[in-house]
Amino acid sequence: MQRFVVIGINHKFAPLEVRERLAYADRRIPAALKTIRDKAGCEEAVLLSTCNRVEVYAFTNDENARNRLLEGLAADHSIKPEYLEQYCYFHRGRDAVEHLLRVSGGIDSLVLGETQILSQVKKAYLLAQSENATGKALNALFHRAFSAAKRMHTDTAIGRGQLSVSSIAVRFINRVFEDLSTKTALLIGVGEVGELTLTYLREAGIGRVIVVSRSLDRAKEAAARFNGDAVPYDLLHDYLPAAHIVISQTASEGRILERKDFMKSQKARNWGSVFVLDLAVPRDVAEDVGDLEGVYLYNVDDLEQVVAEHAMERSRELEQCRTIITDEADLFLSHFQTYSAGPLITELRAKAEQIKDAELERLLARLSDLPTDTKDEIAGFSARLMNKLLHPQIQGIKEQASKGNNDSLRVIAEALGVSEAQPQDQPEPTPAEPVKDEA
Amino acid sequence: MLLQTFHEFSRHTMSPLASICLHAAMAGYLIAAIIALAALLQPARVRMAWADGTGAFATGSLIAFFITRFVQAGTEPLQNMFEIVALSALFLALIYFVATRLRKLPAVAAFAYPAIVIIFLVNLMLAGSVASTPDAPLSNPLLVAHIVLTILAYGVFFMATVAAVMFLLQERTLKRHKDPNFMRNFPPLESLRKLVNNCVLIGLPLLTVGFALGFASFSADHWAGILKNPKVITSVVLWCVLLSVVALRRAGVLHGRRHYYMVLVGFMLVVATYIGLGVVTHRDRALVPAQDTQENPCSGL
Repeated sequence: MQRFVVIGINHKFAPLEVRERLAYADRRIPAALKTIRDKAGCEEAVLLSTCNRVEVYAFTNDENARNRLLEGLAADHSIKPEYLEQYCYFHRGRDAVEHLLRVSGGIDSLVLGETQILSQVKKAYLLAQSENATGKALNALFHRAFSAAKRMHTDTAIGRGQLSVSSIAVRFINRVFEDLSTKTALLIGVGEVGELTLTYLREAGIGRVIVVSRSLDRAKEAAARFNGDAVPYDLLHDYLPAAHIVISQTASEGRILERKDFMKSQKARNWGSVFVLDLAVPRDVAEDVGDLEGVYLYNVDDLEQVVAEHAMERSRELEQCRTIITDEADLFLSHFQTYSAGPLITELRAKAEQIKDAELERLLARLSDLPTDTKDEIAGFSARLMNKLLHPQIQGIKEQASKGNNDSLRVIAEALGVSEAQPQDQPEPTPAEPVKDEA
Repeated sequence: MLLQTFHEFSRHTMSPLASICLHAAMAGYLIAAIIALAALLQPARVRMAWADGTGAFATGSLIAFFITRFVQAGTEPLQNMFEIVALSALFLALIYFVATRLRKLPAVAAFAYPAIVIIFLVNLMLAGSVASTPDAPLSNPLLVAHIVLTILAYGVFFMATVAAVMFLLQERTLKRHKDPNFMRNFPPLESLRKLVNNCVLIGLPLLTVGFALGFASFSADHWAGILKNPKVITSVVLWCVLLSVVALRRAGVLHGRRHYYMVLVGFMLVVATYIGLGVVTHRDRALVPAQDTQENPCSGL
C-alpha cells in the first residue's frame, strides 16, 4: 500500500506566483506525464493541474519516490528542486489515498465542499488514462475517490448552500452595482468558471454580455448561449470602457490587460465602478490595476477570506466527511490488498480445499458406519482446522502484497507449492458524470 | 447630569404633553438605534423592520412634540438651540424614511438612527444654556424661512454624511476583498453614491436659499459684526466646500473616495457651526441681560 504516493502544491502552501509557475496547460499534460514517469520511474501517474493545485498521483515501487518526483516536476519547469521543495507536500500509502479522497470531495478546496474539483479530478484521470499512464492501482484508487466524493455530497450537507468561486464573485459584484440590468459584462476568453459566473449574472439580470476570444467562432458560440455579442480579440481595448464587469479567463501566459489600459478606460467612464474578475492562472490582469480608483480587482486567491467564513459555517459537516474518508480509505485498502493478492490466496485456498476434501473422503470411507451427524461434525472440524491453519498465511500474503513485495510473494508461493498468479485486470468503470473544463 | 439638565429644561420651557412626546421620541430613537445595530450584526436573529417600526413611532412622537410646541408657543421653538437641533433630527428621520421608500437601502437604518441619537446627545449638552434666557419672539418672516431652510439642509447633509460613511466602509472592504457579516446587508456602492449625490444636490440649493434669506434679514448693525461671528464664518465655509464638491464633481476632477471625504469635511463643518453657535449664544447671554435681548438672526441659525 506504500506504493501510492502524491506530491504537489496547493493554495494552502504555495502563493499564486508559485502556482502560476507550476501550472500546466491541458496541452502540456501528456508530455509532462511522460517526463515525470520517465524521471521518477512511476508505473502509473495522474497529473492534476487546476488554478489552486498541481499534484502528481503515482503508483511506484521506488523508495526514493519523493525526491525523484520532485526532481521530475522541477525539471519540467526548469526550476531548482530546492525552490520547489519549500512549497511541496508529499504523502505516501494511506495518507496519499486519504489526500485524494479529500481533494475529490472538495474538503481540501478553497471553497469547502465545492463540486467543481471533482470534475477536474475526473478530467485529469481521463487524460492520464488516454495517455496509458494509469493502470489497475490508480484506476481502482480514482474510482474509489469518485464514489467517496459522491457519498460526501449526498450523505452530508457539506455542499449545501455552499458558494462556488462564481457565486462568491457575483456576491461581490452585487455589493458594487445596484441594478445589473443597465450593466455590461465583458467575458475575455471562454472557460467554465467564467461562463458559470455569466450564468449567475444572467440570473441576476445583467443587461448586456460581450464575449471576446482569440477564436471568434468560440466567442460566437459562447455569446449565443448568453444572447450576447461576440467581438474579435483585436477590439478588446475598444470595448473595455463600455464594460462594468470584466471576467478574464484566457490561457495566455502573460498579462493581457495592464494598468494603462484601465487608466484609459476609467477616464473614459469618468471613474465609475468596474469589477474585474481575473480567473486565469497565470493571471491576465496586472496586479496594480486594483489600486486604480473605482476598479475592484479580484483573482482566485482573493476569495480565500470569504471561503474561510463559509468553511467555518460548514465545519460541523467536516467531521462526518472525515469519517466517510476514513471508511472509504479502509474499504479501498482492504479491497486493494485482497484484490492484488487475490489470485494467490484463491489458489492457496483451492489447493488446501483439495487436500482437505481428499483426506476427508478417505477418512469417511474408512468410517462408513458412523452416523450422519458425526460425519458432518468431522467435515466441519476439517474445514475449521483448514481455515485456522491458512489464516496466518493469508494475512502474511496480504501484508506482503500491501507493501508491494512481489519477490516475497513469489517465495511464499514457491514455499506453499502454488503458482504465483498475477492479479487479473479489473474492468474499467466509467465515471458517472461528464468531465468539465477546469478553472 | 445631562439628563437632569434636560428634565429641568423641558419642565421650564414646554407643556407636559410636549415633554412626554419629546421623551418618547428620544427613547424611541435610542431603542431603534440599538435594534438597527443588532440587526446589522445579527441579521438572522434581528430584523431591521423592527428598528424601522420603533423609529417610525419615535418620529411620530417628535412630530407630535413640534405640533404641540408650535401651537402653544408660535415661533419660539425656532429660537432655542435645543429645539432647532431636534428639528434637524426630525428632518433627518423624515429624509431617511423617504429615501428608503424610494430605494432599497436596508442597512442605512443602522447608521441613521445612531446619528439621530448622537444629535440628541449633543442636544442634551445644549439644553441647559437655553433654559433660563429665551430670546425675543421672531417677527421677521425672512428669518423664520432662513432657519427652517437651513435646518432642512442640515438634515439632508446629515443623511449624505451617513451614506458617505457607509460608502467609504463598503468601498474599503471591497478593495480589501473582505466580506464581513455585518456588511452583507449594506446597500451597493452605486446606491450609496446616488444617495450622497442626491442629498448634496438637494441640500446645497436649500442651504444657498437659506443663507441668502438669512443675509437679507440682517440689519446694518448685524453686518458690522458679521466677521466676528464664528457661526457665519463656518456656515460660509461649509457652503463653499459643498459648492466645490458639486462643481469639481461635475468637472470630473473630484471622484472616488475624495468626493466622500469632502462630504464628511462638510459635515464636520456643520458640527463646528452648531458648536460655534452654542459658544456664541452662551457668550452673548452671559454678557447681555435677558431683557435687553433683541431679535438676532445669529441666535437661531
